[in-house]
Amino acid sequence: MNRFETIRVLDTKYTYALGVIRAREVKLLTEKRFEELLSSVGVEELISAMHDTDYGEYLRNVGKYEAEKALHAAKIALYNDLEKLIDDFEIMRILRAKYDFHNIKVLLKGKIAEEDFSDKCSTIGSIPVSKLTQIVQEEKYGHLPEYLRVAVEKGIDAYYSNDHNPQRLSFAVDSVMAEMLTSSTESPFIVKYYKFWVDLTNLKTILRLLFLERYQDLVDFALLPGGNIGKDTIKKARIENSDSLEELYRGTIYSSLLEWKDSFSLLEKQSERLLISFLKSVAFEAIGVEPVIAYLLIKENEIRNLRIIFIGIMNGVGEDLIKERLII
Amino acid sequence: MAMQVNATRMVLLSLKKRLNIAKRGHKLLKQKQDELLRVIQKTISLLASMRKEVEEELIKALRQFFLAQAYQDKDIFEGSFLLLDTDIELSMEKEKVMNVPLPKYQKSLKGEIVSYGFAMTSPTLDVALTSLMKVFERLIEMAQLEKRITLLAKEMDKTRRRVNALEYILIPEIESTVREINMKLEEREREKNSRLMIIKDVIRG
Repeated sequence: MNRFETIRVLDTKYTYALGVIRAREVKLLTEKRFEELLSSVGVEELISAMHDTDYGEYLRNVGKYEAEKALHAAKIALYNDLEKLIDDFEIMRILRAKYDFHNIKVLLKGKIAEEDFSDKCSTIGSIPVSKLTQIVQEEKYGHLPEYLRVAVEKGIDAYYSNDHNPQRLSFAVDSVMAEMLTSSTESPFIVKYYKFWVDLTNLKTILRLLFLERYQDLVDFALLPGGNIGKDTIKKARIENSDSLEELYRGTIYSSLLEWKDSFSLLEKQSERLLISFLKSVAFEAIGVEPVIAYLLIKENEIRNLRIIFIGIMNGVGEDLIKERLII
Repeated sequence: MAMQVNATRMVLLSLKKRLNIAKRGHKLLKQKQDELLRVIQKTISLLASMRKEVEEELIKALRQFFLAQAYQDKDIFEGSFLLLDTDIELSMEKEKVMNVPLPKYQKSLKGEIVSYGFAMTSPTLDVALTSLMKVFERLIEMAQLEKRITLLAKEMDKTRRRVNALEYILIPEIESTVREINMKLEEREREKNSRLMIIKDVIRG
């Protein structure tokens, strides 16, 4: 009985949002459109080629060096729009959480360096930067949500107990973030998505540590908790080189990614494609918040692709190299 | 132009000694000048080929870096580089080449160049930073070669001026003075001889 009621509530809660998303989905840029944009000669041409897209209003009267800022404005607007649309603070809080964690990292670094780094904070976070800055300045961490308070405690502790190492601070905060994202009770879909994300991040982290020849030193701290493949499983695998990963990932959906283990750009592309394909698998569901979340994350990826094109063209990077990096 | 000296045998002897030293010095300086020229030319060609390679590597590394930057939001990218655990120290030693003290730069890196978290940054950023670090090392080598060329060129200029001073001023001056003293001494000898002949005639009466 309760189960049906819950579904009905969910159904009606997001019906309007789903309708709006369905209308907006058709405006997502296609691979062909990305290719057209890629062939632009110079940023000015790229800006004018984008006037008929969703980004046109942000790129109007924008100089070539302000395009990145305009895309960021579009991203902020995307989050704000969806927040209004789904009217579910808890879900938006989880989706905005990674920016809150970034902000807390930046502010803690500023606190340690005794400098104001608040201009490096993201305005997409669920807590206003000014409020967060004040809390960190006054050290009133009790005013923070539980997950951020834990992040502050663990981050500071990791920094001071590891010879003032800022990377350890980042690792500690990122671990709390991964725990929070993969244990949320608001949406099983979000949890599934972030577990997937943690696994992919850990796979990339292993390869990064091997590339930097720091695997043995950092594996205990750099891996994120909460994934489908646990930290302990990875640690027990006693990885010495990238070839030993085959055994660890055999039989998982990540095994195909090992084909690109020698190229970080291709590995990044393929792992993001895997995430996108997961998001697209729920994009056509008729009920629930999943398609809305999927739209947000797919749109976020679209903005990243546009940023890659803008920055690539602005710096004279070849079309092939830019295309190689696009996650489409 | 001859020097203002007393036309005596002592002076003549000392001038001949000076001339000998000047000629030997000239020969040595000329050899030094040729060697400096050879070293400079070799260093310049090394620098030119290195510059070409480094420019290509730098462009490649910067492109990698820009693309890696594009994976994250600007805030996240810039935030990752706050409070770095990296310290680069550049020290200089001197080694002497043909008595010219030339610099030898040495870079030492404290901490790690990749000192940010991995969850919010792209792995391509590690590759880009590592490439940039390699290019940076080669840029230091290039700076060392450029400084060496400048110092060697200054030394060569100084040597050239010395060679020219010896070749066109000091040696001709000493030679001309030696010639003049010789002439004066011969003249004096002739005067003495004729004076003796006159005295002899007077005595013979």
